[in-house]
Amino acid sequence: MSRPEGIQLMEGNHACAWGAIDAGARFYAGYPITPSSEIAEVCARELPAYGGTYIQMEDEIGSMAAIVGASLSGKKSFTATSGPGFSLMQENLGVGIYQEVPCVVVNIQRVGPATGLATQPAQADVMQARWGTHGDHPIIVLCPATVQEMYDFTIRAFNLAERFRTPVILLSDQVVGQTYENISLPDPASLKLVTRKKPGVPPEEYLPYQPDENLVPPMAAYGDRHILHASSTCHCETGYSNFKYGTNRQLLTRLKDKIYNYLDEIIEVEHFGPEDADVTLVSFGSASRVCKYLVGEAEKEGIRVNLLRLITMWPFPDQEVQKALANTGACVVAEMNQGQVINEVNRVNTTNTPVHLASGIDGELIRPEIIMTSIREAVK
Amino acid sequence: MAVKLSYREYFKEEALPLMWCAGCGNGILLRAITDALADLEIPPHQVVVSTGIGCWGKADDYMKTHGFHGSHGRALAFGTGIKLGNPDLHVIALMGDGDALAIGGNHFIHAARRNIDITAIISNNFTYGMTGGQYSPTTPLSYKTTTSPIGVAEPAFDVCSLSEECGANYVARSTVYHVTQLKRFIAAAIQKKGFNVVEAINTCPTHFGRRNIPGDTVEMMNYVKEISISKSRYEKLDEEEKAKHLVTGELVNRDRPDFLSVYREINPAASETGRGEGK
Amino acid sequence: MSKNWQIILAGEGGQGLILAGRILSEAAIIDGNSVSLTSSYGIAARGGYSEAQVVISEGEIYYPKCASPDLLLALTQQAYDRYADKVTDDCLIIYDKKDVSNNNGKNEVGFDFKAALLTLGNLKVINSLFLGVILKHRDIVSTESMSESLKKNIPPKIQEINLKAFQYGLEQ
Repeated sequence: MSRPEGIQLMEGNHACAWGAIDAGARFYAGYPITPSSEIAEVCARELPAYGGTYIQMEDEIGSMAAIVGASLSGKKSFTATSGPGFSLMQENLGVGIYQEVPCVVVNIQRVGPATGLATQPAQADVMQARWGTHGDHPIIVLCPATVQEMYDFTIRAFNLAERFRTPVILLSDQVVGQTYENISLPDPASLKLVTRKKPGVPPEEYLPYQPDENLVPPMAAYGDRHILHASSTCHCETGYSNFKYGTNRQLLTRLKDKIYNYLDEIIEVEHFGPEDADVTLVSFGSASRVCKYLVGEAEKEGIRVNLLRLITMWPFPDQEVQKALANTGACVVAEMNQGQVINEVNRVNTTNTPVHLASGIDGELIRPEIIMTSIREAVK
Repeated sequence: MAVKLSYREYFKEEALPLMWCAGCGNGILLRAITDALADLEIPPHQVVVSTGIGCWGKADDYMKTHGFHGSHGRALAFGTGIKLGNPDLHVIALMGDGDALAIGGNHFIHAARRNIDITAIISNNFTYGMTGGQYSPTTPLSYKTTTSPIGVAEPAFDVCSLSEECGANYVARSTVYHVTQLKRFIAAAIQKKGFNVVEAINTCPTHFGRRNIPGDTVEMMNYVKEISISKSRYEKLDEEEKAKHLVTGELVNRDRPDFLSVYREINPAASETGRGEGK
Repeated sequence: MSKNWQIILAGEGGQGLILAGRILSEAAIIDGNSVSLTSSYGIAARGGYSEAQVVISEGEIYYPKCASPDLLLALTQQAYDRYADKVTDDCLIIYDKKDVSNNNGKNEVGFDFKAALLTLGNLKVINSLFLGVILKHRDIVSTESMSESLKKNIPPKIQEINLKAFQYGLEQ
């Protein structure tokens, strides 16, 4: 099959796979899992024609390892999974973060914990995406809400991964991944793609973990004459393990600062609905679509509602949420879990704005009446 | 005439002294690998060593080739991505017995089944050295370790039989006592396409030897020498004697097509564009 | 004709409900509309409850599900029972006469799909048949777009019989 063009009906997972291919991904390693497997299927079918490789690993531990390895060999690489598989990827996700390996991990969230409801949606991996791998670390997480965004944000995820030399998580869910919608694929030549910065010094002077002025080290690939030593042990600028006092602080500080000093390049939110509102909804992913629908429905009841949609989930948009809380009467956080984002909202709630939770944990797209009930409570 | 390469092209001398215990054979194994690379005249930048975790997992610290040090048991999984990301590379996975056969056992059997073009060099010292001498999947039945104080209740894996059964192209076992043989097997494994395994029986006087082998580090080395036996001699032994010995030598040498060759044959488009960017 | 539609196609696995949802959705895109097609399915590859929900709109679709369906196709009693008492009186229910017996809706049409399939001589074209029946009762998409979409989504080998089934449904 050739690359689809123009406006057409497409499944979210397919759009994600095409976004990756258009972003330049040439390596996919994964282990099939519902409801993400269509991403693997498109890659298996399409990547060879692009000079790329698909490999089905023995498990998700190996899948995450393989995409880290392929990226170090110079290929843009990615994987896709869901709940149980995302749990298995946490180990080597940490290796990718620590070794500063650009790659993309797609999580099409389903109901958990454990096997949960394999074919049904949830948004309960928000904190796992943030803190799932052990140790102190930053992470970039994007949340698409439409099929078009599955394509667009996958490209953005690769761009951020390459720009910041770090794994990026596309945190989607079963509704967005398996919904079919009309989508418009752009001409690939028109896309603005970012590629990791290569070393600008001769091989003998190259230190693989010596940061540039933006705190990101230029990256050689395995096979280059610039020798790349990537270690999961505490390392200094040479890349070799180093246990001196101060090395760990220096490394962890830089890993954090290379991202948190550039939040304006990463943080994205969407404001929807009237500027002044009685109630501000905070939501993301598929749940945010229900919120958009309710902006109009609530107005019929005489309640002015707007929405702050979190497109970047991590780093958390502290300032944007804080500002929204300061400008509204009350807040309802709508999420398909028992309350994860709400804790972050409360963390930045310096204005003591009342914050309510609308929690969808029924293994389906959160029903409008659940959120509407919270809205009514909020204006009582 | 080209100047013959030295192991020093691959060995990071400024990292000396080695962190391993006196009497540990890892240094000998490292020398055998770097000597083999020098003999083969493979430029260091065309080699990636992928290590696991444990004593032998520190080996990358002493290598001047490209290096990867990942997580426990995953050297082959990372190595698979490294190889497929750039098929021109020589990928050498350095694993201990725990790395390859316990926590990484699943990756090991699938790498062999797939016949991915990686050379796996397993330093088998029959124990978990770095964590303090606990039993591993290769600790012989009834031998003592810190977690089997009376004797281990589990039978051991035979690394080479397992590799053969799973589909490796080349399987050889040697020891850190038989240095020239060890180097020869490593060179053969690096040169051969497909999944190739060299098991190096190693000495751990600190943990394994202290609890199981009477005598000093020299006795530990003698033990390794004495348990090693050729296949023809091994086959003449009775069952009781067989249990006390390990066969050394080239045990498998066959030519199953490796993963990437088959993948490219099935997906002709992939081979046309090779490692470059496609359409 | 209104360009905003919410349609639920419900029955069991194997009846081609999700493919029918795709065919309907693509026809709506050909007509120049936005669509959202969601499906729910179980873990079994064959059988079990299955449904497709199609939302068609002139503008951006926020809520991808059917908040207030305009049309319900119920091919099994389970499918009928799931929605029949929840939809408004404006919602047209098309149900399978043979499979749905316990029905009491105000705005509904029974259709004997099995008999029609026997007449057509092919039991596997039920989705093309019910798409015809649906279009006969509601102008959701143009018949031209629907034919085009059918041709695009159905393999050439079985296109003729499917188009025939669609036409049959349209004319009943």
